[in-house]
Amino acid sequence: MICLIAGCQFNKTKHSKSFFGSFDTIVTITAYETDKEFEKMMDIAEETMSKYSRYFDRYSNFDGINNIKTINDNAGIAPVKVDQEIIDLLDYSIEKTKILDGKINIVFGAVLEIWHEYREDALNNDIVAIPSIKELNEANKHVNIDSLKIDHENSTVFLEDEEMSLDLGAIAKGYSVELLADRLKKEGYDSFLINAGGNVKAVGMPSDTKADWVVGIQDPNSNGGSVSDIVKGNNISIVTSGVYQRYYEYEGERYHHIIDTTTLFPANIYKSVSIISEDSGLGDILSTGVFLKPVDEALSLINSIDGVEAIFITNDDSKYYSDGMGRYLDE
Amino acid sequence: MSNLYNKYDISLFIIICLVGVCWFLGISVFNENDVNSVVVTVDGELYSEYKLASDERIVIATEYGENTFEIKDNKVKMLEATCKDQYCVHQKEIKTGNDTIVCLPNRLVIELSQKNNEVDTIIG
Repeated sequence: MICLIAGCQFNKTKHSKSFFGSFDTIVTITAYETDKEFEKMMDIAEETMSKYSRYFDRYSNFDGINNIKTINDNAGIAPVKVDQEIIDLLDYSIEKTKILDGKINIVFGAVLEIWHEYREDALNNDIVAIPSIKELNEANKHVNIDSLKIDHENSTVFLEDEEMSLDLGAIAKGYSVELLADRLKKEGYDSFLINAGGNVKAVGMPSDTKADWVVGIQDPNSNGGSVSDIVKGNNISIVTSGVYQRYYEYEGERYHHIIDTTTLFPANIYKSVSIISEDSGLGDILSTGVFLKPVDEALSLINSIDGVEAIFITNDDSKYYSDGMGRYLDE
Repeated sequence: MSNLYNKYDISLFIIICLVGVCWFLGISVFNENDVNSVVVTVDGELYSEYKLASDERIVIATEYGENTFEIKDNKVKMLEATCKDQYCVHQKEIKTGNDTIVCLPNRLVIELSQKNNEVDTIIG
């Protein structure tokens, strides 16, 4: 009996729990752990994600920290002293987005802001319209990455152009998931799964009897219902960019939140793009970047990067897999 | 040799019986959970649980808002919500172990729980 009772308390069983509030999404942690250890993991996860969510926020100010919004508010005015976490994110973003030759620009905020306002108006206030190309072109004059000045010695960031703004929406969440995974590993946890609104990181073997984490990729046509693919693996990240949830309709056309840096309009090629890679930050960048590229270009880009695979579902429901995707799929 | 069994034998017998009963209970609990149930969490905490095989209309009112959903013919559908975006109401009914309905503004998640479900998470 004692063994049975003890077994209940100390056995590693599957736990899965969510919290809200970070990055405007739901974050779920899954682990085969004891009750006590799982509670500890949840505390670390919530604290870490909430911290980065505040650092990388471009819409709200928070007491006691200078964040992305503080930098944007001080564009053309003064350099802003920030914590190392923000400098690291900016350095990482500039380095990693090079691979997408301009499709992802972290100072594209002026244009994204316009779309953000129109989308909010459509969804919340029933004012449905699209911005004029003139308005977008005007904003697009203030997106030059060379006007972003990072002073590593003094830990300051300055936007020289006052009309310019940072937007790390394509990177910050995946990057933070990666930082959380590092933190949990440092605390001694070697097996867990993080799912932060489309950004999954699966670490280690789930349990002694289960070698791979199993991640279902939602079928974009089922609207929350069934799964289109099952991806299996460990020590991988899976990031999905989908537009079937966050969009509004104007004159029969759908307008979603992934905006092409060339046309300044939403790209209408895919329903969903999933990237499998090791680094969730890179996965986030690629899933957004590839979203803006035609299928052939997108496939050849993914196939050219070692250790990165992808699944694309286009608007006409055709499905494409990168060359090495097979090893993550069910036979 | 008046006693055929000594007291240790009896203790052992009782322990074996107890283990047997626990084993049986454990298995029945497991089987019970194996049947799909509808699990509602609010702000990450378990809020309530229902049988998928039931037929009812449920209102969940919390500090974050109010949601009304229906369980019918082994399916769950969100009928009404006080949230701004209404994504959860536009979502199709859910019916298999992988499906979830999420209402982000109201911090509400409806899941179909299935003990033998091997999928760890859904992304999309």
